[in-house]
Amino acid sequence: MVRKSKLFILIAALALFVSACGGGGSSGTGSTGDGGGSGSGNEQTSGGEGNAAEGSGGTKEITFWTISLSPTFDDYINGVIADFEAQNPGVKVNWQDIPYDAVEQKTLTAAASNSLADVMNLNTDYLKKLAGLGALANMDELAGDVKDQYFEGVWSAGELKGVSYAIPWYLSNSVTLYNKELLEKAGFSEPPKTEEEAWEMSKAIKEKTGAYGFTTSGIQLTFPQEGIKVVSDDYTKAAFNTPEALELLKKFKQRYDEGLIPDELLLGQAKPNEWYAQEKIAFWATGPQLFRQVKDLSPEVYEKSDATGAIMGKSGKVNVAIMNIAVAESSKHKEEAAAFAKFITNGENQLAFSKIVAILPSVKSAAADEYFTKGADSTDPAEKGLYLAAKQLEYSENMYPPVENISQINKVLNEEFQKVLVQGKDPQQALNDAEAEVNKLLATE
Amino acid sequence: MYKTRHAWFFLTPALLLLMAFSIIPAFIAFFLSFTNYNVFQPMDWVGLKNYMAVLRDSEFWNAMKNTFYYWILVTPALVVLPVFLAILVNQKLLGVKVFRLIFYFPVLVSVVVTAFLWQWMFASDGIFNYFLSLLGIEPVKWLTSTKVVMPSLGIVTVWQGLGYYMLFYLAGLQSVPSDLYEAAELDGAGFWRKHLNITFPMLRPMIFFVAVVSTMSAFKEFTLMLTMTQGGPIGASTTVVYLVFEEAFTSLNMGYASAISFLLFAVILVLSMLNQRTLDKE
Amino acid sequence: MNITKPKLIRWIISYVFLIAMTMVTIVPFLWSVSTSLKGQNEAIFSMPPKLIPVNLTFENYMTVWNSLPIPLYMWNSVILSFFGVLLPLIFCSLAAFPLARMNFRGKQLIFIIIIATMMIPGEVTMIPIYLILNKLGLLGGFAGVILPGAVSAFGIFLMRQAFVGIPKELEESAVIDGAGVLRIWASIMFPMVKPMLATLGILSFIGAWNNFLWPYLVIENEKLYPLTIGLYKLKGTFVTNTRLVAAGAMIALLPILVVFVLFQKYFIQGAYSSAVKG
Repeated sequence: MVRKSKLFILIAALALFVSACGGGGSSGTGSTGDGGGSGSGNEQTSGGEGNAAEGSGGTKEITFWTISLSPTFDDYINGVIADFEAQNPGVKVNWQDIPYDAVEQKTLTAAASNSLADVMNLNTDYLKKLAGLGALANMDELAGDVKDQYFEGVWSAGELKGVSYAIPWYLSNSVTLYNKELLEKAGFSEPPKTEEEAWEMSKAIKEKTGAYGFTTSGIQLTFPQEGIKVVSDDYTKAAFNTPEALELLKKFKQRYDEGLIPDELLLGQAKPNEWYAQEKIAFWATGPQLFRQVKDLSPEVYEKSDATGAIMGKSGKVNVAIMNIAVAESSKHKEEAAAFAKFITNGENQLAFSKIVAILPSVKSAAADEYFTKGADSTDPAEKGLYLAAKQLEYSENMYPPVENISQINKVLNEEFQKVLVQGKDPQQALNDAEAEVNKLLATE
Repeated sequence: MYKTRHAWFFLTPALLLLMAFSIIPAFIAFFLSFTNYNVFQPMDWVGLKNYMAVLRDSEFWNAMKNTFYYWILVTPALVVLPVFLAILVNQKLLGVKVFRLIFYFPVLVSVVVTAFLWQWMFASDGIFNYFLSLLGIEPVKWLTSTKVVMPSLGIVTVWQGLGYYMLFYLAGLQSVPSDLYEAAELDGAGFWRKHLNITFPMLRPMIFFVAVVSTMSAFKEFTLMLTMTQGGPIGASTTVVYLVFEEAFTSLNMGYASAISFLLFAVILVLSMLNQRTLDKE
Repeated sequence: MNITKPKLIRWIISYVFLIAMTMVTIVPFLWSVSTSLKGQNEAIFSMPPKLIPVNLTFENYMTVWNSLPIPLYMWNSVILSFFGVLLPLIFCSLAAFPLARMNFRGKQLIFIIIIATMMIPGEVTMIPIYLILNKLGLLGGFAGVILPGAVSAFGIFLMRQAFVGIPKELEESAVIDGAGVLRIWASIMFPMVKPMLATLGILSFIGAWNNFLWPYLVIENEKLYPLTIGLYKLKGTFVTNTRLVAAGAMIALLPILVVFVLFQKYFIQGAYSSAVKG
C-alpha cells in the first residue's frame, strides 16, 4: 500500500512536470507563426485577452495596453478607440490598463503564455530590453512613413542600435520648480540658469536658510548634460573615462564635502517632491505635470513657488522622458496594430491628450499649438512650467544611449558615483571600475 | 491505531493542489535554472553555466552577506519577543482585547505606508534623531549609512513582525491548561519560573514554527528594501531575493534568477534542518 | 479576588508595557486616518506635523466611493476571501493531522517537501504557475485566483504544529471509546486547534483580501476585479492624490478589522480547558 501510493505520486509528478515543461518550453519560443498559437492551443480567449482572439465575421481584434491611465482618462482613450474603429471598419481594439506596479509581471506572464498585447505602452528602458530580445516589431518598416512628423531627438528613444522599435507618445522634459522665499532669504531675486550657478546659489541658501538648494540623485544624466558620452558611438565600449568626467566627479565630491548634497536624496532614500513640500530643498527639477504634487502635499509651499526653465549643463541640451507605443513582434495583425499606434500618437490625438493633462506631445505639429504658449505669463507654476517645457522641446532629446542594458549601466554609474561621494573612493579608480563593468554589460548584448 | 490509508486520505486533496501550484512550478523553476530562459526567446540548455556565473558574481555574495546579516538581526528578536507580548495580552486585564487588536495593526499596514512612515522617522531631522539629540547623542544616518541601514530595516521588520508572531503564540498559549499555572502558583513559583517551566515547553512546537517561518521570510525579504532603500545605499541592503527580482523582471534573465533562487534554497534548507535538530523533538 | 501587592505591581508593569507598545504601533494608523480626513487645501506635510486635521472632511471618502464601483469590488473581494479562508482551513487542517499524529512511511519526506516549497522565492515560480493555470484552462475567472491559494505549505505547517501539541491521552480515550478516524479528527482534534484555526483564518483572510498581483494577472473581466485592484486605480500615472489613496486604504482596512474582532473570540476561548472541563 505504502509503496504503491509513493509510486503513484512520483509518476503523477513526473507526468505533470513533463507536460508542464513542454508548455513552458514551447510558449517560451514566443511563436510568431500564425497557426492559432502553437503552445497555447487550448488557451482561453475570454475578454479580449491575447492576440489569438479572432472575432467572428473577419473582424480583426487587437489588444492595447496602457500604464495606469484608467479611470482618469477613460473617456479620452475610449474616444480615440471609437474614432479609430470608425475609420477602420473590421478592426476592433480591446483596451486594457495595467497598474504601474504590475507592468513587468503582466508583460512577462503574457509573453510566456503567448498573449502579449498587439500594441503596448512602454517606458524607454523596458522598451530597449524587450527590443533587444526581439519581442518588438520593426517600426522603421511599419511606421517609417510618419517618422518626420515627430521630434528627431524624441523618436530616437525608440531606437536600439539604429533600428526603431517604437513611436514616441507623450513626453515630459524637466523644468524647475523653485521656492521664491528661500531664494530671497539667501539674497537672490532670479533663479539660476546653469548648473554652475545653481551650485553657487546652493552654497548661499544652505548658509542663510539651512535648506538645501540644488541637489543630485545620480550622475547618469549629468554626464550627457555636461557633454560627456556614456557609450561609444558604435555602442561597444564605455566612453566616459575621460579627464572631463574626472573633473566633474571631483567637483561633486567637493560639493558633497561642503554639505550641499543631502545623503537622503543622493541615495534615493527620500522623495524630492516631499522634501520640496517641506522646504528642505529650494529647487525641484522635474516635469511640469508633476508640480501639482507639491500643491497636494503642501499648498502653502506651492504658493511660494515659481517655475523656471531647466538648469542647463555644458551640452545645452535637456533630457526628455518618453512614453512609447510599440507593436509586438508576435502580433497577428501588425499592420492594424501599427495603424493604431500611428493613430493614437498623431498630432490631433496627442494635442487633445495634452489638453487634459499637462504633458508634451511628441509630434511637432501638436507642440506648435497655441495651447502651449498661453501659460507664458501665468502665475501658476504648473501652467508656466508647461509653457517653458514646450519651449524647451527644440533642444530636448532622449539622452540615454540606445543600448539594451541601459538600466544596468545607469545603476553601475550611480553606484560608483555614490562611492566617490559617500565613501571617499578615488574618482579615477571609480571611473576605471565603472568602465570595466559597463564594458562587460555592453559585451553581453 | 491509524493506518497508512488514513494518512493518505487526509493528505491527498492538499497534496494534489500543492503538486499543481507549488511543487511542479518549483521543479520547472529548477529546470529553468539550467537554461538561458528569458521568456521571449527560445531557450537553450546551458548546464551549470548559470550556477557558475552566480558563484563568481560579487553582487551575489554581497547580497548573501546582507541576507545573513538581516536574518541574524531579525529572527532571534522575532522568535523571543512575541512570546512576552503574547503572555502580556493573554492576561485577564481590562481592555486587553483592544490592545491585542492594536498590536496587530502593523501587520495590516501596507508596505508602502510602512516605508513612508519609517522614512519619516529615520530622516536625518526625523523623530529618532530628535530623541537622540535630547540625550546629547550625534544624529545617526539610519538609512543612508551602509553600516546602519540593515539594523534600521531590521527595526522595521521586528516592528511589523511582533504582532504577527504574537498571534501564533497567543493561539498556542490557549492550549496550555490553566490548571498547570494554578498548580505552579500554589507551589509559589514566580513569573519567570512559571513561564520557563510551563509556557516555554508547552509552546515548543510554536517556537519551532516561528523560528522556521521567520527564518524563511527573513531570507526571502525584499519588498521592504524595494520600497524603502531600493537595495541601497551602494548595495548595502540588496538581499538575495532583491537580486532575484531584478534579474527576473528587470534584466529578464529568468534562468539566472532561478539559479540564484536555488542556491538560496539550499542555504535555507540547511538552516531549517539545523533548526529542526535543535528545536523539534517530535 | 483581593488585590495583593505583587499583583498590583504586575498590573502596573503590564499596563506600562501595553501602553508603550500601543504608542509604537498606532502611529501609522493615525497618520493614514488623519491624511484621509484632510481637505484639499490642507498640507500633508507641515512643520511641526499636524495629526488632527484643521478642516475635518469626509470628502475624500465620498470621492473614492463615487469614482469607483466600491460595492461591486467589495462583493468580489468577499467571494474571493470567503474561499480564500474556507479552503485553506479545510485542506490544511486535514493534511496536517496525519503529519502530526500518525506514523507512516514517507511522512518525513512529505513534510520536508512541503516545507521546502516555502523556501523558493515566488518571483521564479510565478511564470510556471501562470502557465499551469493556462494549461488547465483556469485563467480568466475566480478559479485561477482561488485554487493556487487553496492550500498553503505555511498553513499545513502551522496546523501540524498545533496538532503536535495536543496531549496523547485525549486521543487514546477516544480510541478506547471506539471512535473512527474521521470522528477523532472532527470531534476531538478539531476543537483543540480552534485558536490556531482562527489564526490561520485571519491570516488567510488578510492574504486573500490584500492579494493584488494574482487577481490582476488572472482575472480578465473588470467586473470581477476585487477591491485591491480598484484601489490601485487611485494611483495614476499623473494624478496620485495622497488623500484619496489614504481614504481608499482605510475603506479596504475596515473589513479586516471587523473580521479580526469576529475571530478574536476564538483566541481567548481556552480550547483545552473547555474540552477537559466541559
